[in-house]
Amino acid sequence: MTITKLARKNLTGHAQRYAAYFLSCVFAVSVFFIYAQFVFHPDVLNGDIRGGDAVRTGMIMAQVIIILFSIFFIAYSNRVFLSTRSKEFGLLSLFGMSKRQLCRLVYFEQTLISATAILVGLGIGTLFSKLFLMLMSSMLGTESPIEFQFVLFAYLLTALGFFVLFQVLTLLSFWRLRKANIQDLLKDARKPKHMPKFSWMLTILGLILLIAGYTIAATASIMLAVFLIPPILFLVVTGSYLLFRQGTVALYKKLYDQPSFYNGTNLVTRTNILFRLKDYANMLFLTSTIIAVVLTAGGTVYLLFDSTIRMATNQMATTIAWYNYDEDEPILEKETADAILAKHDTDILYTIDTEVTPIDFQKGSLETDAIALSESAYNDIALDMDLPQLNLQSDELFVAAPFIQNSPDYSLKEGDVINVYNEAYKVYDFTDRPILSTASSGWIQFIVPDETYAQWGSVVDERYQAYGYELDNWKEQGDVSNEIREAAESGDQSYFVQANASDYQMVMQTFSLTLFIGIFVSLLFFIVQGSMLYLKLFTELEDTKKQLLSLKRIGLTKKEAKKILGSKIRFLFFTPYLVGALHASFAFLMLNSMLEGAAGSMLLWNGLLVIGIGALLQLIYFFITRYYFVRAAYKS
Amino acid sequence: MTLLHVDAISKTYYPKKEGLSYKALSNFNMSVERGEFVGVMGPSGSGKTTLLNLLATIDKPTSGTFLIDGTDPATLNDSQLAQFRRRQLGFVFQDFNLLDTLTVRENILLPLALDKTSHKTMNNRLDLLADQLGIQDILDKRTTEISGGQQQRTACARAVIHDPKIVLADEPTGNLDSKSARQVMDTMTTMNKDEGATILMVTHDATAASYCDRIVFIKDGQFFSEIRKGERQQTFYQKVLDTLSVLGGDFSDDYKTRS
Repeated sequence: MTITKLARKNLTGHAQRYAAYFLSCVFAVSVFFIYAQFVFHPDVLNGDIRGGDAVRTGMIMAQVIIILFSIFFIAYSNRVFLSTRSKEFGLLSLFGMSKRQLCRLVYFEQTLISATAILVGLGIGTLFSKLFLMLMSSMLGTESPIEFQFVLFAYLLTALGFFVLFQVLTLLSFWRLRKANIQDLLKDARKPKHMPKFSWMLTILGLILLIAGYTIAATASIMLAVFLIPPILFLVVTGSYLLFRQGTVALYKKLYDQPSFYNGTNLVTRTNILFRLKDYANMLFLTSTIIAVVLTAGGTVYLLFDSTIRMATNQMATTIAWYNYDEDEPILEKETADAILAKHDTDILYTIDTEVTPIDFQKGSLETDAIALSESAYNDIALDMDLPQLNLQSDELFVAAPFIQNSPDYSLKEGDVINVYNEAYKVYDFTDRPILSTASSGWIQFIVPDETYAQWGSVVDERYQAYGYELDNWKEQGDVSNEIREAAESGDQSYFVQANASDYQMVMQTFSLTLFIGIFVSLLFFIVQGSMLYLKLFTELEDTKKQLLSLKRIGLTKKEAKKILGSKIRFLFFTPYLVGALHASFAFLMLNSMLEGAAGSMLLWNGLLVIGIGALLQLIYFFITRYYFVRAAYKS
Repeated sequence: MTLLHVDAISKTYYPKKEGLSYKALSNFNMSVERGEFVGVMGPSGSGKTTLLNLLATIDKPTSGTFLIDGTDPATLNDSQLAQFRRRQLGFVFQDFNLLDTLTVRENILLPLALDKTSHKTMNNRLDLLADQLGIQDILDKRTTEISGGQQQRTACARAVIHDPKIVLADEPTGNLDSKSARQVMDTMTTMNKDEGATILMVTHDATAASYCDRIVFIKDGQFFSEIRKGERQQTFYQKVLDTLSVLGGDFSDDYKTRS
């Protein structure tokens, strides 16, 4: 039998053993290829599509991350995979196979696996890139989706790049193989020999570091936040590493003293984990860090996306809103807008056509401008807008100002006293929902009793006409909105016409791409950490089978066996997730203080949402892994 | 009183694809009295292990039935069978079958733990048993830290900790040197005499077999003969050797060198 034949026999005879490693390689290849397919697509290269450039930059960045991760991930899988076979290599050496021949055997095997993985990866990638291109096109909003093409360069780059990567990693593994002697190889190094030890000192140190990091993160002020990030990272990372290495052992040893230790399968499940903890620690640390990064990045990107969309839309009064400052030189005639809306057959929920007056006001040392609206006009509009009716005293005013919370120099709240034309008025109430267009002096809107309004109006003798249209299904009204804006463009004044849908469309387009790339890369990292756990688990398959057989012989029901397997997989999947989520929560807390509460409650919900989605994905991965692992463990 | 009653069981192995079927046991009858220590001997391929697997309810007979203390395992489903094995049977295997993540104490208590026995009962039972079998010193050691003989004695303790109806032993001395083998057989005798455990042991080893009260010989899946222990173990041992030579077949030589 030649070495090549042996390599082939190994592969076909132990397909199950190679499956996890093979699949992770295929996964890395196909994801890389899908991105490459888009980056080097002729339509994108020639700039035929809107936003293509921005996406391309984003994708190239994602590509770099994927490459780095592939190197890391494949190197890891390679090492884990070879270490599980040390006994086999030891046996071959004992029978007189030289190190050189052993290396050749590994080389043939790895080359065969990697070549197959590249081919399969390209195949799957081709299938999915069709889907991916369709998805991208619909997100970019191009009329005709980019054509699906066989981009030769993408194929060549992926195939060659990964081939070189696999070869280099295989060659690196020889170094490891050459060092080991037969006895070490033969000895089942993974067999639990001694009760794992831990040091109280290091455990407590880890706990202190972690708590210190968390405390700093939670209490960091906006000024120092940027400088504090590196020390916080150091504290949290070191702390959690120590806790994974030492604290978990301490915790599991404590379980020995629990009365529940000798209760049912606990005896087996707990010791199973305890004796592998040292082995697991590095991986748990790594996966928890990946999860923390993914959740934090995902949460931040999503927060940015969400708050930008909110900023662009919620802080506008109606779908379309503008002021005509001068009757003779209108920004946009109401009739023009009406005509355009009629042409598009748009459903109008309500319209606003009312008069306002500009004012100047003082609060303390601050002086700025605003617009004023009479109470009776407001009450009419409030009926349509579903806002409360007002009945103000003569010295009271109601304030609608969406942006004022964002500017620390100004603040207006209930009970504040302001001066307008040397008379004091009390703020009756405050809302961040604008009534009229927020353009220029409309950024602060006062609603005052009709008498006050008349009085103020007489001071400046200036009136604006405010218009507003609330359209049905406003998110879809981009085309109408754009046309109305363009109609006003005569004097380069389109900015003065606020059009929700246009802004929304623009923001969606730019940010959804960031979000999309973010989600894709996050998903990749997520799958990678899951695959690492999966791989690790399958390297223990033989030991697990042996243990199950032992237990089955003395009478263990299948239900109990599933419980034993399930508890271990649960531990592997959810310990790093919990730790990662905890890290991410403190990162969100810190981000919250950096944003100074502007996005406060939003952040909390976004953070919970991202952590929740992550937990759901991890749960799905857990169920899949458990299903396959239990099945594999039961197959004799 | 009969504890185990085997009524004409047969086991035929059918090859998965094609080829000849193989009859490992045919119409085999035997019974074991409560408190008896019975050995089963026979040449390689005579059906000893098949018999033990059937009795251990790991395998099912092709035909025939057997009762263990009035229960027919064939009437139980998988989960009930596992419970039955765990509560009514005790096992001693050639490869010890101990979990290497557990200490000796934990290994012994495993059957009780799986059945969620109270802490107090467990410890009382363990103390008593460890004392009888002389393994108190190694209770807190890990299985990788003790010798093969000690491992097998641990397995013996585990086999009787839950007061099973019958202990099934499969070549318990097969992996041991002669000194350890004798210690293990002494342990099994203690289990039988002091604990009142009923034991059915399959063995190759004439020395080990000479500790039994009665030996059943199998050849080609059928009952061959039976001998009972008289006054002296040495005479019994000689009788075993005589029967084996009559039995012939492919016996390993180890029983000759192991006295």
